[in-house]
Amino acid sequence: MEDYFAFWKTVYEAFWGHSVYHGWFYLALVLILVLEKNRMVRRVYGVFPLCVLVGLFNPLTYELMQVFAGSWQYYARLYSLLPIPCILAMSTVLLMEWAEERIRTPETGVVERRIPERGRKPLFRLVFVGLVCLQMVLGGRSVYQEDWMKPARNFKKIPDEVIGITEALHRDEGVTLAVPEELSSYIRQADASFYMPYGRYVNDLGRELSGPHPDPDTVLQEAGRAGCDYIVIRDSSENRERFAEQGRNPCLQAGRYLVYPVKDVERVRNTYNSLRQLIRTTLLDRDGNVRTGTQGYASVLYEYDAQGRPVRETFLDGAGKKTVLTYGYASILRTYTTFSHQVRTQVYLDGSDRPVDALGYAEIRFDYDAQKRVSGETYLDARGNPAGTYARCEITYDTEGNIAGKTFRDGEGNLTMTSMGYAAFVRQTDDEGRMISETYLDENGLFAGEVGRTGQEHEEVFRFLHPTGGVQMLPEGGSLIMRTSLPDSRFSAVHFQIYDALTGEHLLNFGEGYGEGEVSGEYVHSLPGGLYDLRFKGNTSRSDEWIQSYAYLEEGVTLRYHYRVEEMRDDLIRACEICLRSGD
Amino acid sequence: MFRYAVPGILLGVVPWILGMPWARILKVRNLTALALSAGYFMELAVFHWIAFFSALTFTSFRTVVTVYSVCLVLACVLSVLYLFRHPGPFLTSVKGKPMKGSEWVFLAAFLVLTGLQIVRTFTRDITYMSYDDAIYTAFGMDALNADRIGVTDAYTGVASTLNIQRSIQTSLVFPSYLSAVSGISVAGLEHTVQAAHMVLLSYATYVYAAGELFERRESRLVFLVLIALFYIYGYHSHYSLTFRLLGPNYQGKAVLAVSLTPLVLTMLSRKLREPFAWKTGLFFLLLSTGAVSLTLWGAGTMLVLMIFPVALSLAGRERDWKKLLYIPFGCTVPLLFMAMFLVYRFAV
Repeated sequence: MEDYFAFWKTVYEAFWGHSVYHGWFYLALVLILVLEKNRMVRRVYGVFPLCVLVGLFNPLTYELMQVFAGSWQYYARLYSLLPIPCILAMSTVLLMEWAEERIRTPETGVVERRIPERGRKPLFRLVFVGLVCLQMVLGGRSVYQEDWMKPARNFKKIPDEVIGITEALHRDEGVTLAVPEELSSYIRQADASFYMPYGRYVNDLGRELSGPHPDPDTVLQEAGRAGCDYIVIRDSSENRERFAEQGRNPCLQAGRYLVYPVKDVERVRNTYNSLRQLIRTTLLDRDGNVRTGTQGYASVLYEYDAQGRPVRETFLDGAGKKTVLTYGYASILRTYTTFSHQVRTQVYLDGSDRPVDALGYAEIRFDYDAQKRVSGETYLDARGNPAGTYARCEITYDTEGNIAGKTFRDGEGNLTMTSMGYAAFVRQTDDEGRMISETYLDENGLFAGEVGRTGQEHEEVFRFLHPTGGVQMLPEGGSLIMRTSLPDSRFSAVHFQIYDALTGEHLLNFGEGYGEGEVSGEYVHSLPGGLYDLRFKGNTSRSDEWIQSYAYLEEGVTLRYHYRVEEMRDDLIRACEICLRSGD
Repeated sequence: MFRYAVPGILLGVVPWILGMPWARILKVRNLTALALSAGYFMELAVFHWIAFFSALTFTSFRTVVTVYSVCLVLACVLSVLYLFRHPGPFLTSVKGKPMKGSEWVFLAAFLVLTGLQIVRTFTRDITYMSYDDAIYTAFGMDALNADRIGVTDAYTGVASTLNIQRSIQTSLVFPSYLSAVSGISVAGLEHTVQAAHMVLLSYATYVYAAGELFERRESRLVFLVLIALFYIYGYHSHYSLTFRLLGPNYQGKAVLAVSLTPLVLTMLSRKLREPFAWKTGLFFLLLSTGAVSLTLWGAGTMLVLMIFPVALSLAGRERDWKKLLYIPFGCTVPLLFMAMFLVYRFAV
């Protein structure tokens, strides 16, 4: 139940902010219910909003919304069902009319039941409405004073720089452009003939371009690989110097931005048809001439079916003829089910369009989970039999949708070693989906090795993991600490879960709510030896804020959990950590 | 020069022509107000069916423009014929007395506040970071560029498989239609022209609502003044209706919240007092199609807006069970598209 209240509180505060209107709204509903004489109007504008509020703060609605649109931002849209301005204005008018009916007329001294057309009533109305308006102005917040309400720059309401860039670079056949993040939302609004390697959610190239001093080599090579014709960076003397040192001059300046052509680097040229389908990718050298890549092709032809699904890739040499890659295939053929967008089979063909055991297999058949992610790959040879050292790969995902592990099995479904030296691996990724560590297991499911990486933002994590990176080993007496900290208003409970890292089986779950101040608790649990997926969170309103870690436990180890919540009042932040100790 | 008048004709004159017969049929007080408001949703409703099935069948957008223009002309001709055969007033159905001094004050205040809001849609940048417009506006422009609806990734510009959610949301490509016939850019139409139009549309809805809720003209004017002032000073978050009306108000979820919801509720508060009428049901059918066109949320919204008030109308001694028929009229189209979306999302 704490989950629900915390979530609803988040939604409520996000919707109403710090305004006085929510109090006025509830008062308005009461006034309508009491003062509105027409029964149907009373029901529609008085009772119906109450029904909406009951629906809003209802576990059933919460669960339904988690299925269709999990975030609280979508939940807050449910408030749109309430015609709040109508309700507020209507209740005020009803109150005004009710008050008017009770004003004594000076001539008779009798309370009039009917509202006369003359006399002091017009003055009363003007004063009443004037007071209400004053209260709205003083108690409210003018939208025109908000920071985001800026003067319009042009008719399209798009930054002038973007219009300048798109008008200058426009070509009918389309231009591919990479820009800093603050411009990425606008380019295709100004001119949709442009292509971009990313949109509103930028990738590594976009992040580099968004920096104050992007490295010329890095961005131009990345842009070249992405098929860009131009890049845009922020104008500064340092940026101009860095690019000039490499003999690169901007071809355009648009306001605070500089545009550089992507040339003198190895790059790809993408060609699109009138339906904007990518039909050809050609490798170019630094001089813009067609080159043959290390895999043995110079260009790739793409074909699509009537539904726009890519069905074939054919590799060509520098002369435009079909060529066999170093891997042994010349084409890739894909099939789908009748209406789906998931690839069902992928077949590798030789130069004569026959299936060929190019990579140790000729065909891959894909299985998908409920979230339409590839959950399994079955490998077959050219005769349709299980192929290679492993016949099947099973894939699992973490709570963020990143690949969490792969398991390789033979034709009988047993774990089998691959040529890479492992039969399974478990992967940890950061918030941006980049790998932190991978732990490898042999055909018996036992620890076989690990790799990891460090980075400034991950130091905190690595302090708590194995010193070489990867999974924490928890022999007798060892300990693992998982820690998180979040703004105070979103904390109300601790949750901890354990899964079998290989099978995904959910083994353990506990959660405990808490109030103000520092709390702690301890649990004891025994687990057999093996690799475990540990998940921990201190935020109860959103499932996507789990902290995830892996621990390899030796046989016969007892696990102790001790959690602690401390309140750091200066920063209004609560820190929460769980410590797992093995042994008695 | 004529091309600049085209949006005005399509967003002002055509809705009035399409909506006026309904205003007379439904016997509302403020005929032009309802005509302008409901007429726009009628326009969207016709566009929705043509655009959606064109998206499903990968039909050329130019064909959509031609077919829809023909349908629109036919609909306008039928409406004009109806108006000739059923003559009547155009502004209000009830003759009022001359206005008093205080009423002039309130009217002036309302016009000043509304005028200020309309002017500010031209002079202020209300797009606010344009994050959503990175999809919405680009989606609309892609319909013109690729000559197909829903088959381009709005972020990258490269063809993709059909985006069923956005294809159901056909109001996204209605500006593309306006752009195709007027030559004005989609971004300009959305961010400036439609922004102003949405303010007018919303206040037309509120003028209509005022006429249904209050008998006295002065009360109606006070109601409108308070609403107009609330919208300016009622900004409490990006989810507030102030942001919906005076921010990026051309987005489907904004139109749904600010204009369609009060329109449906007010119509229900009136028609549920009267015996069931199939013409009223047909009106809700068309409105519900317009709601789906605005946003997939519109489908869910219509279900709630229809079911709860109708159910509440039966909570009394005098029950007219025939009013339950308003539910299938108002909910069938939304349910149909919700089902289509769910099938496409989970099974395809």
